[in-house]
Amino acid sequence: MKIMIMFDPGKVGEAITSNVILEKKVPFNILTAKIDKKGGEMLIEAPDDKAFELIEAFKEKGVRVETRKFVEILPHKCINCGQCFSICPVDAIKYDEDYSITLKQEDCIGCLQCVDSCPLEAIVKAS
Amino acid sequence: MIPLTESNVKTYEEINEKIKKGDAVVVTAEEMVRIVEEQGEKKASNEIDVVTTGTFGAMCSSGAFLNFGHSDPPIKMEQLWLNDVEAYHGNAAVDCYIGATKMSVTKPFVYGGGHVIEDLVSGKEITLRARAYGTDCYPRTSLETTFNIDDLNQAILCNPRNAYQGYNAATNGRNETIYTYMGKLLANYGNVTYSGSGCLSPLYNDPDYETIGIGTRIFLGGGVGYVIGEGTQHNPKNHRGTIMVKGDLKQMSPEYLKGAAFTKYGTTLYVGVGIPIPILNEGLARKTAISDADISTEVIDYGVPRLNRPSLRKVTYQELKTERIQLNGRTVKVSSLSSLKTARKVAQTLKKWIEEGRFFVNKPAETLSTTIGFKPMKITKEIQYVRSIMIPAITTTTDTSIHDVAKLIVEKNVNHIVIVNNDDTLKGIVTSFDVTRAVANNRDKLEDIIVRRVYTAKPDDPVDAAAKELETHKISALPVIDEKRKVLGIITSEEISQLLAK
Repeated sequence: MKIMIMFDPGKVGEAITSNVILEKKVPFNILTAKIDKKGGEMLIEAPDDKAFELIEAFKEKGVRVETRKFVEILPHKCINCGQCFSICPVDAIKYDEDYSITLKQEDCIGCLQCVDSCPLEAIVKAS
Repeated sequence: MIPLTESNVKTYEEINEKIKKGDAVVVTAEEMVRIVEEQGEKKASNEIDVVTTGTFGAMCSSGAFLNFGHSDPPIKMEQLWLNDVEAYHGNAAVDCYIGATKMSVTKPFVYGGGHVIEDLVSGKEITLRARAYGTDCYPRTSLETTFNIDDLNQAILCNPRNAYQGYNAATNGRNETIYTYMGKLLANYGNVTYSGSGCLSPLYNDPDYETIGIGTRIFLGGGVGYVIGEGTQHNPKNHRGTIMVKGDLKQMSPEYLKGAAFTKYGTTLYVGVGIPIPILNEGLARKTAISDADISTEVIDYGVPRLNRPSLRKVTYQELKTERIQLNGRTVKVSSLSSLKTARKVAQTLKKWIEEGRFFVNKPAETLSTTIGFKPMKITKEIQYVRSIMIPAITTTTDTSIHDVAKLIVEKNVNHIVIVNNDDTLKGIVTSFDVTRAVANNRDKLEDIIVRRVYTAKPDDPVDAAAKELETHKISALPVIDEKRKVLGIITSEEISQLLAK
């Protein structure tokens, strides 16, 4: 499961991520991270069975945590061309057997590269 | 004279008789591949009556003629806009042509003529604004009204070039993402896009145009349309035939006519086209059995800003449809730009129409040319290329001290020093500002301050492309390099300004 960890400016000095790993002894993958003194966000991929535990641990340390979808493909606009398919760096977008385009939310890392690739404006940033 | 054809075993009339009785055997071009493989051409030509094809892709050369009827007092429109998209007016008072790629004045790159056509077909209200100079017979000088497709006398989709037989696949060798009519192309050959439906492609199923020409009845935009001749840029000798088509927009469906906007390129229209191929003889059975493996195209580098772009490799549609191909020793993801799902649906729908006795095949008044050529534009005034205005680059290597680089900038009176490797290939660039900043921050190693992500130009790039590159990245110089990244010179905004001043 992908989890977005959001750090407020006051929290960026603390070794929160390292401490969560040490305490919970759960390794996870950092997919994207953009953090500076003004705060920031870090997207992690956690093992599904440990995700809840990690979310709680992050919350205890006073950071905001969200599991969310980054983009949505609007079915009434999508014509199933597949321009987005080759843009997606993590294979979250796939062609089905009948050439329908599908988005696997749990694989999406929110890079948003697909959004401006769509000629039908069918891919939108999730609110 | 029609070359490469075989004597007919069936006539159009016989096939239509079967369609009328509900006895016609109709298959899609995809299904035909297997049928001929299993039964052979001869048996297939006897048993199969019609093969249906289909494609649904972005077709920029599309548009519609509209007639509004006359207003009271009457107006002879001089300029007009439909939902803020300018339509062409050069005909009688209230006729116009709305073209797919014309963009909205208020929402450019988002909404255009293609969207107006989709909105019309969807039955939506469209705002018409017009102005005129006023004449004795047409006194009115301005007009604003709304209408929908039912309010029009005629709404005729009329596309000068549709259903390209085959098309290039596209990739991008530049070190930045580019946005083209072939979609978004990632840097460094990061992806490939292609158009066309392969074995379902209408013209590939009758490559000698035995049955396709003026008057051929087709599936167009979800309704019935006609081929009205060869399309513009029709290029049969290179398997790049095209058709000009028309049809009544009032019968069409927004499912098969979709306005689209390619980022930083502009607007267009996705059009669904399907041509029925009557199987008159054994040769047509063989030709309609063409498979994705039989159709190949070239992967072209759209990063090169010239007409003749280099091809990286040949590729079949079978390979393209596997979604990944090898390019420069790497596996690269491949996108279709046309919708294969909808192309199939076009062929299936046309098949159903014929099976239900609602659609008949017909002999064209004249078949498409198989011999006409296609040539590039005649240019009488040459533009400038980077080669002709580039100047020698002042280069050095990273073992130079920042102090010496500063001296070089002063001595040579330049703002950019190009950093090269020992073999003269490009390593990076430093500007006089970078050096000033290094001095201000007490840094002394050149290695630490050089910019390594350098935007470059090739000697045969047009100056316009180099100028756009400078503007896009807000930089003032581009080292000019050859294929092996060897530095040949530099082009700066100064040379470009001098050129403009001339």
